Amino acid sequence: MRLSDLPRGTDAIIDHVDDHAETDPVARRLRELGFVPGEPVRVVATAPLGGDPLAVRIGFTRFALRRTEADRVVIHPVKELA
Amino acid sequence: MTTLNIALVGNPNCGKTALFNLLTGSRQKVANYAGATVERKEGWFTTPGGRRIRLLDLPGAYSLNATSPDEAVTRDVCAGTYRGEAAPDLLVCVADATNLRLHLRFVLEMRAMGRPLVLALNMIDAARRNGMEIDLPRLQAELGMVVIPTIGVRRDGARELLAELDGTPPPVPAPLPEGTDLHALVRQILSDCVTQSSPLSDRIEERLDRWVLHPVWGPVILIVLLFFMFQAVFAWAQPLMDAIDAGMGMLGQKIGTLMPDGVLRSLIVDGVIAGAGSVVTFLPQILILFAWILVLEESGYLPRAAFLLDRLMSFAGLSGRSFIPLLSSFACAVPGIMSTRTIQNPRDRLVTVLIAPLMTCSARLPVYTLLIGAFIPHRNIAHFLNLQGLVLFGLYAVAIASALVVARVLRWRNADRQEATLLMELPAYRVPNPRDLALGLWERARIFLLRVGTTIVSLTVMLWGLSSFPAPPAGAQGPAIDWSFAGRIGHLMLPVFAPLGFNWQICVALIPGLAAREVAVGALATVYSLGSGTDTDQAALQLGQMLPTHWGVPTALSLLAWYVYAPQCVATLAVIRRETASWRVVAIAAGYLFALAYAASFLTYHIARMF
Amino acid sequence: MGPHHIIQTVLACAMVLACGLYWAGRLFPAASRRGWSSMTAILRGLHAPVGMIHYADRRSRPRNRTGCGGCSGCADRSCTPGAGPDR
Repeated sequence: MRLSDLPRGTDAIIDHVDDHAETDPVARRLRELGFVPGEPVRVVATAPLGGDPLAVRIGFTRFALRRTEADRVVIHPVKELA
Repeated sequence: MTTLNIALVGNPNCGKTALFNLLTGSRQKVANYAGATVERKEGWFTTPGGRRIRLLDLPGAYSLNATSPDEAVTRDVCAGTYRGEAAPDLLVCVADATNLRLHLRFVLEMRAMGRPLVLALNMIDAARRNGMEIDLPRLQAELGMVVIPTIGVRRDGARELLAELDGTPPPVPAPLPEGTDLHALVRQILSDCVTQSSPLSDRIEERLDRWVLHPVWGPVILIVLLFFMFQAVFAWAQPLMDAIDAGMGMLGQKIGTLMPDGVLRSLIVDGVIAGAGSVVTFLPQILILFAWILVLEESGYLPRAAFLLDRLMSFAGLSGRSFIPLLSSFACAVPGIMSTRTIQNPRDRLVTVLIAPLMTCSARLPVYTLLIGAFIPHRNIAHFLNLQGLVLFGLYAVAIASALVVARVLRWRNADRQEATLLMELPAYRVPNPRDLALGLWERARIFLLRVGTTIVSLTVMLWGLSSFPAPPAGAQGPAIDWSFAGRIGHLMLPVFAPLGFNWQICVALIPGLAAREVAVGALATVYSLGSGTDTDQAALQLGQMLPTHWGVPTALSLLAWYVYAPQCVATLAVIRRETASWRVVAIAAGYLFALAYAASFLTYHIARMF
Repeated sequence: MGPHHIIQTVLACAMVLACGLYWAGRLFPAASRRGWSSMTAILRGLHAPVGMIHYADRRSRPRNRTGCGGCSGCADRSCTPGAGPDR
């Protein structure tokens, strides 16, 4: 499953980050910022008027990501949050 | 003992700037790095032991793999490869103790620099408050570098850092083996050295962000905040402005009685005091507006506003990220235009350059305030909405909306939705530090007063000259100013501007207004005070009270509309020329802005006259 | 038209002229530097105080400007947008 498809409030674990091109600086930056295998992640909010960008929480940091950026992140959900 | 060169590095939002301010106080110098639009902050201080330190506050960077000019500068300066910059003798890495999971990775990366390294564990008080226990000696051992706790916002928060600087220089840490998994290493170090319960501050973010980032309430909160900001600008500034206004009036009268009657007295009273003095009156307003912006910046709210507005901005071809520089630099379009250098796509860059003059300019504020204060009734709608603040908010909203529409129109034929990266951190919420706020406002006030003392005064003196000579021929009727150069120029311009409801005095005021928008206020003050006759007691009559007796409301509204759009700033046009290396672009910018201004002004005047 | 009046007019004109020259210097920096260069030579010839000569000399050299128009946003120093906290 991809981060861009993760519903709001659902916990998930990062599997890996895909490259969208040969050298993908966005993917590299995502990995540097902590989107690494085994890290817990959650979608905290979606923007008004279309839900792009997303606000995600990884570790103790929050980031705003475009859907195209979140699309690179492959995850598997853990459990539903009440 | 030679001066020690130290560089402060760290992730964005680690509290580096507060620490920098704490160490250097007001002994700072802000400039640009040679050949770049990246800001260079340098400061000096002396340690208790007598060591002189030169401190460089490098731009925040997430990694040595730079993705922006800011990060490239940080990387190059640390490596000692930036042209014109001496390699630092010591690197102080600043990390946010409440978010080591993110920040420690960069600290480990810095080991590759091969320079003496020290870790300043900042915001240690917040970490302790959250129930975080950090085993400092163990952390030092595992990281391979000296670790010093700091609290950037407390008066003595850098005590231990200073003590460290007085001691023996720290060693150069051994570089990590090639290909080390930095994240795994960070995780291991954290599990060894840090114990904590569920972080309390994270719950604050959870609760606040539930509303602030909410798809419906988020924008509502944003609008209410902006609204309140403009209300405050009017309401809070009023007593201060009245005080300054009265003070200027008294000064004018005093000088008027002290000096012998004649040309020189007129220059001082009608030219300098009425002219420049009337602009100084608006200092409280500008400071209040800036205080709000600084508070919004420091509190961590702005990235969330950028998040909410990203969709709207991409409609105009901008990234939500450009909202922050646009708002923060609303002081002046020039930095905004210069920062477009980082935009890759030439067409996007051109569009941003063309709409920048619409979005920003604090020099418009005096003009807006003068006209709103003089012509919009001091009334409350629905018991708490100040009508004047509402109109001010409306002017800014119209300007920004126009900019977005123009950007959209300019991209009509070129609708390629280019992938613009956002990937922006939403930092922890923070209570703004009063010291940093005061420092920022003091700087702003200094800049403003400097501008008045040089640009504004010189323009009003020259205008006074044009308005006082030549003297009217003997037996002429009407005020003397009608016969002066300025008077004649004004009357010449009248046919062009009369359909907008402008009188010749306004026309004259627009000319020096090309060099500085707010000079129009001073110019009007000078022109009217000269035209009000020879009794200079009247010269100090407040402009705001005098104008409604000379103009109708439609004229004032028309002038407001003019100022929203008109390209009244040659500095902006000059920068456009420099950045695009094309006179054609300058002509397009000036042309379309002038056309918009004329149309808006015309419509406003004639519609207003119908009521 | 007493002498009072003439002195005042001369002073006033001088002040207006000074402002005009200031702006000419801002708009045409190259010409302004040449002007200061000549001024330096004149001051040297008149044996003016060393401080004055040095000042004129400094004004005749190109200054490393960041390229601002002296707008209210930056006062000729840094021209970067939004230096927020820790950028």
